[in-house]
Amino acid sequence: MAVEAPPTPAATVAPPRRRRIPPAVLLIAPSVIFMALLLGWPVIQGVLQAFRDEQGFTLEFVNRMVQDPYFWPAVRNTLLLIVVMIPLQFALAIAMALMLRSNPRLHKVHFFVWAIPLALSDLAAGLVWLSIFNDRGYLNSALSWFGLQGASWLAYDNQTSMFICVLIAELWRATSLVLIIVVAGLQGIPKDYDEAAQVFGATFWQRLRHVTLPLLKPSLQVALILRTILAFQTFAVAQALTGQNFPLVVGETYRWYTGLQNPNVAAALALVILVVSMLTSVFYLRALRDKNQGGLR
Amino acid sequence: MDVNDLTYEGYLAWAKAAKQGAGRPVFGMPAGPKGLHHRFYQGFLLPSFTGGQITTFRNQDAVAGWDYMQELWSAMSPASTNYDYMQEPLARGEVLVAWDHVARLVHAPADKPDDWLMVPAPRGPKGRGYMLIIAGMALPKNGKDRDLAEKAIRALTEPASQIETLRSNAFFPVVQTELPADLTGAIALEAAAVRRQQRSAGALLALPPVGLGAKEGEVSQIFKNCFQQICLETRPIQQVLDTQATQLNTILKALNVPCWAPDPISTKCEVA
Amino acid sequence: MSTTVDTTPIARQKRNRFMLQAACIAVSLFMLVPIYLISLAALSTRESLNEFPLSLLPTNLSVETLNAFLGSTGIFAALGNSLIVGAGTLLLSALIGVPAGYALARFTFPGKDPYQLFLLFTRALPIVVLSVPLARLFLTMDIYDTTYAVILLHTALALPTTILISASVFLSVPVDVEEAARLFGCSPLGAFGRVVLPMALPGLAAASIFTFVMSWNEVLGASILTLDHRTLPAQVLSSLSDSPLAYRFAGGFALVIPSIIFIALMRRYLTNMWGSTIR
Repeated sequence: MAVEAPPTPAATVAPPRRRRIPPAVLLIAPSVIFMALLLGWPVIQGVLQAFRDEQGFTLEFVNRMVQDPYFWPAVRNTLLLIVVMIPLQFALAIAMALMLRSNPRLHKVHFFVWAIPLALSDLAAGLVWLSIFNDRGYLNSALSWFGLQGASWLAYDNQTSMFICVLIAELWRATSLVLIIVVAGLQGIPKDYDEAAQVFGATFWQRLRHVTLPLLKPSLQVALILRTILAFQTFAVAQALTGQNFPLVVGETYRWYTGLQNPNVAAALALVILVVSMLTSVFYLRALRDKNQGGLR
Repeated sequence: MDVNDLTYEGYLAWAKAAKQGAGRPVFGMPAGPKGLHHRFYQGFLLPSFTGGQITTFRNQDAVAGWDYMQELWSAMSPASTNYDYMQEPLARGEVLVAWDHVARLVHAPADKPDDWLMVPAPRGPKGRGYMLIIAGMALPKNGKDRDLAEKAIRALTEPASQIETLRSNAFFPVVQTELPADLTGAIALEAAAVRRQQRSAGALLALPPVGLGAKEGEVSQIFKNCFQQICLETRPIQQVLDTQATQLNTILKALNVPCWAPDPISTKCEVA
Repeated sequence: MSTTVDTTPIARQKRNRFMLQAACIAVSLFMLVPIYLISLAALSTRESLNEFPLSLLPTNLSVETLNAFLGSTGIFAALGNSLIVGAGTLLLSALIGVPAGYALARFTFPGKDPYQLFLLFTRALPIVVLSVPLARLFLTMDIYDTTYAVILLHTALALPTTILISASVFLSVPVDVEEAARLFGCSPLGAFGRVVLPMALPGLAAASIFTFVMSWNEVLGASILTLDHRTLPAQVLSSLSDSPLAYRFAGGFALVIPSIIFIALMRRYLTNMWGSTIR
């Protein structure tokens, strides 16, 4: 994918013969202008809103944000969810992609089914899982048909089961995005490499560790960045399932904006998300790039 | 025990006995993210215990009120934190007794009104606190078609259209009128309960925050925070009330508005 | 165990094969069962949803809640808005994004890395916060509460992915083909239009469907920027959040169906869009 695009074919075309505006600039200029106007300007407004009131610069809104009883739980939940979910999701997606690669029976049907959540909004996904996990939902019903006593999976005093419910729902909803990217990445890797390693007696895990994953690195990098940024953005599933009991930072942004009608604190919360997403993206770029170069040397 | 004249103590004893009898908590409240439980503290619990809403926010009576709430919560269904409208868990039989806004209760008894009871809120040491919503209608100056606009307002405040609103939305009439006898079961239950509540001995009217504009949500959030920290996190009550009172005063100071019922209407509203 | 040594690898392979099938079916069940259950919930009578335990088989089917939901006002107008916004977003983001993607794939230029980072970071800001200053901007431009406003917002949101995806699609089109076309006398534009574009089209088509889906599913921004011209999910969700559970399930089901159709349509192109074909 583009972020870690192999540089080889890129530089070959278009040696600039005449001195005038390079075509690349003409091609990207509309997008830059458009984004600066519709995204850059609101972002600047947002930053200003978080730090300014009628009198000028103020930290009042940041203070309000930090003192809110939901703030630190929200930060903790957001980080916990991402740290646990992303590795699970990638392991699952890579496993699913490798399964598809071994051509199981009906692999086209399986692929179709696994991709369906890709087009599903997070709000709809929240409703889907609410029908399952609520106290009188399908999970407890199924347990009761087997003569088992159900549990209040989403009750506020049961943080662990609440977390697991949100985790399962998010795995269901968002793994397909990673799957698609990994499947596409796998298609770009010629099977010969894997077969060669097999001939030399490498086990499945050795081949995965030393052949497949290194070759998948560019795809994984994009998937990681995109998925993590999107993970910081979603809260509808958690909100549908747990209401206010499992607060997430984006959900808090929304609550401050719509429920409490305080756009300033909402902007401060949004900045927290922006900064954390940027830091993680840079971290991914660094971590994966360094290893990549080490491998080439 | 007269169910139409409950005390808060009686209500608690009932909740505990019901929990023991049923083997699970069967009382509930709308403590979900869109639930109206803050109105319960603002308009029912705290006025009944303290006689006020804001000025008395952190005094001894308020501590007693929240102490009561803590105990009541332990006899309530923990799933309450997911309930927005009580009519649903009631209709499903998840809970058997619940407090909520009448319009959010009325669908529960709709099918079998004879199986249900609607009763006034309990009374506490300072009276039977209950909340009414004030609706105001206004016309902008220099608006076009003033006559028609006035006609529209007059039509809306006619007893006939008020009764129609009651029938279709379960909002109780805001003008003096006799109720028709042919109300559907659930609405008739509601109307009787509302009348009984208003006319009962010691009825103490409370209003939702008045004149706060966009800050209403933040003030109500203070009451929800109290519930969160006192009932769910079981922190020391006085300490919670003190910190929340500071927050509340910060908001109120900036607004500089007079208090509303049941607090005395002083020039400036703040926690004592 | 078999008697001869030679059959062990075959037996093991058979067992692996079986495990593979079983695992695939398990994952498919994990994906399908929730969809089955929400359909069941949407198609049950309201009374049967109040019972416990709920029936896990379609015994009490009715389209009563679904009909009531579809019959409620504004659903069809909202569907029209959703289609207009989706198509508009698709066109506008392709118009702006595809050239930029081509530039990323074919040229090196100063500021290329910062540009790509900029693209990613714009996705990192919560939509709620973007929507408010935008709402103010649109009010002054007099396009607030129109489908244009939503198209502009959705295009801004979709552009980063459109650009990155189309860049990877163009990367998968070999440079040699383009050079050959140039050698045989095509202008740069002609080479692009006659050679590169046809080869990139499947991938770009997939990217467009992806954009459409993103626009279809975006709710927060759309509900802040419009009042009377809501898109379908925004309409559904604004009316649903205060509805009884049965209607919420019906609404959830109504949003699941289009996504199944989308995926059925774009299935074949799905992997093309991440630039998979021969490098």
